[in-house]
Amino acid sequence: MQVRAATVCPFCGCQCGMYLVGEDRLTAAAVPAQRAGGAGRLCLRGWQAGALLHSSRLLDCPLIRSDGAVSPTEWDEALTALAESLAQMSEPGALGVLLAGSLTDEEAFALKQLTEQALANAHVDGLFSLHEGAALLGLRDALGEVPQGERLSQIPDCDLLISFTGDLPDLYPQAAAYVLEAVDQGVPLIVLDNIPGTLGELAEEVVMIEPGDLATASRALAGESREGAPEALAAVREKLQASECPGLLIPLAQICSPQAAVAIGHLVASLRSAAGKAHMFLLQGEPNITGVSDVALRPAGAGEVQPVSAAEMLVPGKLRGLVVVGADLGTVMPQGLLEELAGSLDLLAVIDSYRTATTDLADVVLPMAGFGERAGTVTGCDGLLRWTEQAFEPGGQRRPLIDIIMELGRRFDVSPKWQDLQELQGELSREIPAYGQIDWDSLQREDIWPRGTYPVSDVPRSLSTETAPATSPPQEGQFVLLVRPDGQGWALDARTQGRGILAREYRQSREPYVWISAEDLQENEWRAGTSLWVTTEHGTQNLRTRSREGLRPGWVILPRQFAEQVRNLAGPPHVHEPVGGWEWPPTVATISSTPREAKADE
Amino acid sequence: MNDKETYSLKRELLPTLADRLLARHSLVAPVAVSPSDVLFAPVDRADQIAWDYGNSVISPVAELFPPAEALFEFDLSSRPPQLHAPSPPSPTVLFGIRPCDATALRYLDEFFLQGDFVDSAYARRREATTLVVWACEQPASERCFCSCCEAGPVLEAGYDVQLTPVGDRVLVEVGSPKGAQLLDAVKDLLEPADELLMARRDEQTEQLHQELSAVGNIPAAMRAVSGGSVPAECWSRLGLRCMECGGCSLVCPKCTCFDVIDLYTGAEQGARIRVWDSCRLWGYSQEASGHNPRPAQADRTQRYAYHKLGHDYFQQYDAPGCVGCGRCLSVCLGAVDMEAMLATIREAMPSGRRISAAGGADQTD
Repeated sequence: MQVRAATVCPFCGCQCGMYLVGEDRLTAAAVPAQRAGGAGRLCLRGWQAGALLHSSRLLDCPLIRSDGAVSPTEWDEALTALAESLAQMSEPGALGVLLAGSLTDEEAFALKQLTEQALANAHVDGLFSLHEGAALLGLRDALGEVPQGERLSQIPDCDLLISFTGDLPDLYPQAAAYVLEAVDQGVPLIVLDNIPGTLGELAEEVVMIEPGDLATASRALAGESREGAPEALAAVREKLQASECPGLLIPLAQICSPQAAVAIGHLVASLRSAAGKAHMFLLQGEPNITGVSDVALRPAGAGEVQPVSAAEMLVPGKLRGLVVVGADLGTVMPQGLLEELAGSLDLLAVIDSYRTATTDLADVVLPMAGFGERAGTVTGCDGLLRWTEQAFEPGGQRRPLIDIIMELGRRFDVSPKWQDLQELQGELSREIPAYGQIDWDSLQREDIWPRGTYPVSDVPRSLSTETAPATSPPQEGQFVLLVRPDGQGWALDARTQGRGILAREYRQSREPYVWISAEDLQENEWRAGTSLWVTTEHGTQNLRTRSREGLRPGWVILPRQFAEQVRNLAGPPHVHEPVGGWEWPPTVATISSTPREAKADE
Repeated sequence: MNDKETYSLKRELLPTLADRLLARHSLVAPVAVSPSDVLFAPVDRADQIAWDYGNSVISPVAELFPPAEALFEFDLSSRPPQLHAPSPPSPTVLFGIRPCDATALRYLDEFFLQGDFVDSAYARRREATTLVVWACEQPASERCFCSCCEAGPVLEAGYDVQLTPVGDRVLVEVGSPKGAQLLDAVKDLLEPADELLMARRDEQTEQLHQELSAVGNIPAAMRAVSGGSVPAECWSRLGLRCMECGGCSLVCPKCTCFDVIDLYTGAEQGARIRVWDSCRLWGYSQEASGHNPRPAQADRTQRYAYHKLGHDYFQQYDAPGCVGCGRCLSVCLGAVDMEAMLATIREAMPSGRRISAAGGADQTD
């Protein structure tokens, strides 16, 4: 069996090491590695990552829209058309660039250079900011530096674990594996969440933190103020004070408000000053959110125009042009709103490896080399750079993103100081201080390198103290509907579709559903798997029901990935400025088994 | 009395032996792809071989039953549609395979080659493969328990050549005419094996058995699983911790679950691919109607346990569905691997029917 490449899993931020093996692309498979800080374990997605190399949704050639229809075109024509359109959007505030957290450090840095040199007035942000930016910014402000978590392998070294999610096994299986290892060694685990989740079933204690109360709870744990916090937190604080090495598991996508993140940051700081060894484990939804943020996202106020966040870029009419790199807007907004946004833009350009809801609406689509088709580094939320090797030449007409950037640069008469990946990596090390000690040769020798510290005290950000509006409690017979990240959220990721086992395992999860407790199913004589009508002040939706351990009676959980259903039932998100993070406050819902009853309930 | 052809080789000559074989054959051998990971891969030189490897990340049975393989390529644009068989495999020496993995191959031989249907893809590869086993002189890893499964640390049969390191010597045993033919090229390196070397090997093996048999009482667990006496709560407890990665099946050298998919390389061209699958995954047991007879992970955990520890399986193949390689212990996210399963079954048995932790007789408290 040929060993094609040593790389890192392309899905979440746990950054599990893996090897790509196989005779050719069609038989490529991923196997786990101890390298790159891997644990020799993978989750379902990791084990099936080889399928990304032969997905039926891979883009094969450039596409261009003409007379309303999209058709294949030549590279030269597509690049020229894109460059000409971009050149017409040089006025301040006209153009936005949205990046995925799956780009390599070098790709993100090359994009930063292109936007600075050729598209000086463009706004740049990561699409991940919608869900993880609030937590990143809050922690950054509280800690005075880019938040850097510890390696997941240090979880079992803690003597007390606090998880800010009960859904850890569903969302971040590798982190959950380390937590279970610790629990099996006798380490107490406490879950702070608004539902117990699967992890809650295995925890020593679950403390219910109502939505919107996370900041209050964290302040109570830090000893700042106990006002309004659950009584049970007093005992948790005592345990934290007695602990010599507590560990906090912080899923960034679930910490929706910057205020909560600031409070958690203060908690971490207070524990570090008291215990000295307090660990912070940051859990992210994409492998290189840290690296892309480090090297590509312009700090607030540093550009010529007031920065516009990803959330604002998605408002129809805000911009004239939008370039989306490696991300799918269809995973965060309903199809109707996406079509409205695309219709409002003079230019929607997409550079991606896979066909998505966004590429279907784009004016220009450039196919880029994807997972296993390019080399580069990714920077984990633990501050470690990991080298990813190329396994195969890009298939179809896909080209490496840095080649695409060079070609676009030429059309703007911009000549980069680099001509290949090695020179680009050197340029990155020179330009970004935190990456200064990392050079090409060292990356070839070792597969993990720590990036430097990244102080941000010179970039003050004032966070709004505005919080999401509170919701009135449900009446008898009503439910609390809450929008949350969901472990099956990958079902709508274009990479997991196509053919193969991953597609098969997620197929059932593409039909919108809600989670409901077994107690509520039994009490109402409903069954898991049947369709129910859910109604809120915003609208009515027919959704299939699912049930599992760790759900809370009286609550229904609407997975965040069902953007259409989320808009229809929870309304538009509350936007936390200045980062533009999205949060949906809980909504009161009624549920019935027939549409007629639903209408009567209204 | 051992009537096999046996030889003695100076241990220091192992690289020479490998180089001689490489001059005539293609070798797939254990290779250290990082300081902590070993994978089986083609080698050009003996110094690429990891002689003292713990255990490979995935089993070398993947050389015969790969994670993904093209069964045939198709071109539907032709009239009639054209099907092309893959190129025949070239003769290969699978060198340095551990006894546990070789034991699994004996099962795969029965599964794919016996009965009414012969799997031609497997048969072609198996025919082209010569098996050189590298028996264990110490536990390959701290997770090994082959002695519990009668799959090592040294084999009685099921190899073409078996190499057993004993101190500064290697006992070379010939297990088949294919093996004898392979050794023709290195005969000048070999000396006749004497009684002392055989005795030292047996003593070393006995010591290893003692070290490797402490993981779990597989016969007693088989009785409990097959007799249906394991409480349902036991499967629920294991199911709750399972994170459904499928890794236990994918690394198990004895698991044969697979799926078949058609991948297109053009509008009407592509290949039919067989890929490893796992009965721990939800979609594996879903029926064409949409009904799933094992909807909960607890159900699938129980099914997996039946396949590994069921008496039916033992009757059919004269061995449990596990070879004790310990890979499931390495990859399991939820620590619900074979060792944990044996322990959980043991703890879940009602008082009075409690089975002993390892090897020995059942308790009758």
